[in-house]
Amino acid sequence: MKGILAVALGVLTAIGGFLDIGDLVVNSVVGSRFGLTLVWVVVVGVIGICVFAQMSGRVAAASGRATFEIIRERLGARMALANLGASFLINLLTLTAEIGGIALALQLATSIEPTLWMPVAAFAVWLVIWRVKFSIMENVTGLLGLTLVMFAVAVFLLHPNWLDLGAQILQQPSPHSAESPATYWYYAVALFGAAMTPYEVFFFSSGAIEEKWKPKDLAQSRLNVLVGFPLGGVLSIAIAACATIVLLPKGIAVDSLYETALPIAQAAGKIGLIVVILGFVAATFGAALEVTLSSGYTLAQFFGWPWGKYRKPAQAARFHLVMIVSLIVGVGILMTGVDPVEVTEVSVVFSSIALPLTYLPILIVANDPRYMGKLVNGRVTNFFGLVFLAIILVASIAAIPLMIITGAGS
Amino acid sequence: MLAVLMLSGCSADDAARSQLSQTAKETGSASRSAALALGQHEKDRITEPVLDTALSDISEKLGQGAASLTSVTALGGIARQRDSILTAVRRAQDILLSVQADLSEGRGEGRSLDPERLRLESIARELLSTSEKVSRE
Repeated sequence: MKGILAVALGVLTAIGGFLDIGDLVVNSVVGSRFGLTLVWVVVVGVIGICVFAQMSGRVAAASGRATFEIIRERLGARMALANLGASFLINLLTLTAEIGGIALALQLATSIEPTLWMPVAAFAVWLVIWRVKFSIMENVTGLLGLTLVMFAVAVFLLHPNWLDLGAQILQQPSPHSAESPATYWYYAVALFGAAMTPYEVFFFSSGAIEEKWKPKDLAQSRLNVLVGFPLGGVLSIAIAACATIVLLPKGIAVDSLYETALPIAQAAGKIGLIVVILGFVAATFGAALEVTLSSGYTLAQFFGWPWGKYRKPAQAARFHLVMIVSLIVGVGILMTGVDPVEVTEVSVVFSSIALPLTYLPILIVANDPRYMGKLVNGRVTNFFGLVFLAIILVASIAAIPLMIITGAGS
Repeated sequence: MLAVLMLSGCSADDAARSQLSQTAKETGSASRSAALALGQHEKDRITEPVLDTALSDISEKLGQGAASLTSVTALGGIARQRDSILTAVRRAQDILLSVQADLSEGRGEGRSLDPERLRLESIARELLSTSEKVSRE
């Protein structure tokens, strides 16, 4: 019974923790501008993150060491430095977006300008990381994030024409559509980047060490990933579907978080709106915790510093210092007056650019029997790993030209 | 956006048209968002902080749209289009200001803001159709 509860908790946390500000914003933008024609990207992205998350969890459980420690040892300092540079900068950008997301969500709950909430949000993130146990932190935000299921409920409450919605999934953008093919592909890359954000993999593998996973725990972790992430992907599609049903016919192109919530008001009124705002806060706060920790993990693991929440902060001072500095830099960027939603859109596109540097080393390490022993990648995993690496490479190469051609999707 | 168009060999007129079309589209979308939020307020389906956030965000977007329009250098037909878009944006800004004032004084309950919602809806239609027209030229 205890085992079943642990599995259920893991799956529910994975679902609730899957979405972050990037998923909330980009899915809603895409739904309001392209309908459901880009759902296939979410499906591809979710399969990709499942392949690499379970691979990095397996690396951690088999070797007892975190991703960056092994990458540096296996691939040498130069390759590891390229990986570190890209991952750390993307983490910083993602962290900025998540803090902005918390502030925007709190504005929806209080009417208070997000600028005032940003330092408060960053301080709260630091306090939780400093004081709260890893498992409590992960489970509480993950479970509260489940309130975003409201988007799936709202799709039914809006009584859409299911045939029309279904047909859109199979459609490509119409040549008569107001959106250009380049903009369509720009948002395809952004959606892919939002689904495969690198911090998720670092957090997953370092979390495995924090929770002292052993090879016997792999079945549960695989279940969490293979059930939890796809159901999280369903929520992403529900967000896009809500925007498609309510906003697309009115010609409203989403560029603010409140617009993501308007279809919920239409479908479920004030109660639905309150539930979804709670979900926004939980999802962005949970993601901010994960990204902040990932910033500390990547740098500490690369330089061989003591790291981890299982150590007292005084015993992992540099790990905690990196997180504090990252939070201060994130707030500093937001205080310049940049729009958090624009930061989010840019961060998911830049994530796509850095993806090969994150995922190639994991694939190499997962194939090395010296670290993996019997748990080395099988043929099927390698096949999927290589296919996704090719997709990641294409998305990475296309991201910057598409960003320039489309004026960042405008 | 403007720089990209200039680099790709578009004339100054094309670049101005593109900017006008984009701004009309964005401000039209914002006006329609405002109409949707007010419609939900009438039906008591939206919380006060979400409505406040929506209206202040839309006011800001309209302000940015107006500023962007005034920076477009245009002559002849394009100048007329710019002025007509700017007038529509200014009308939407005025309506929003009066709605925000009504709400802050507690005068916006029930269907009392229906006329403003309909006017915003009509401005949104006008801006979105102008955007399409300008982009086709």
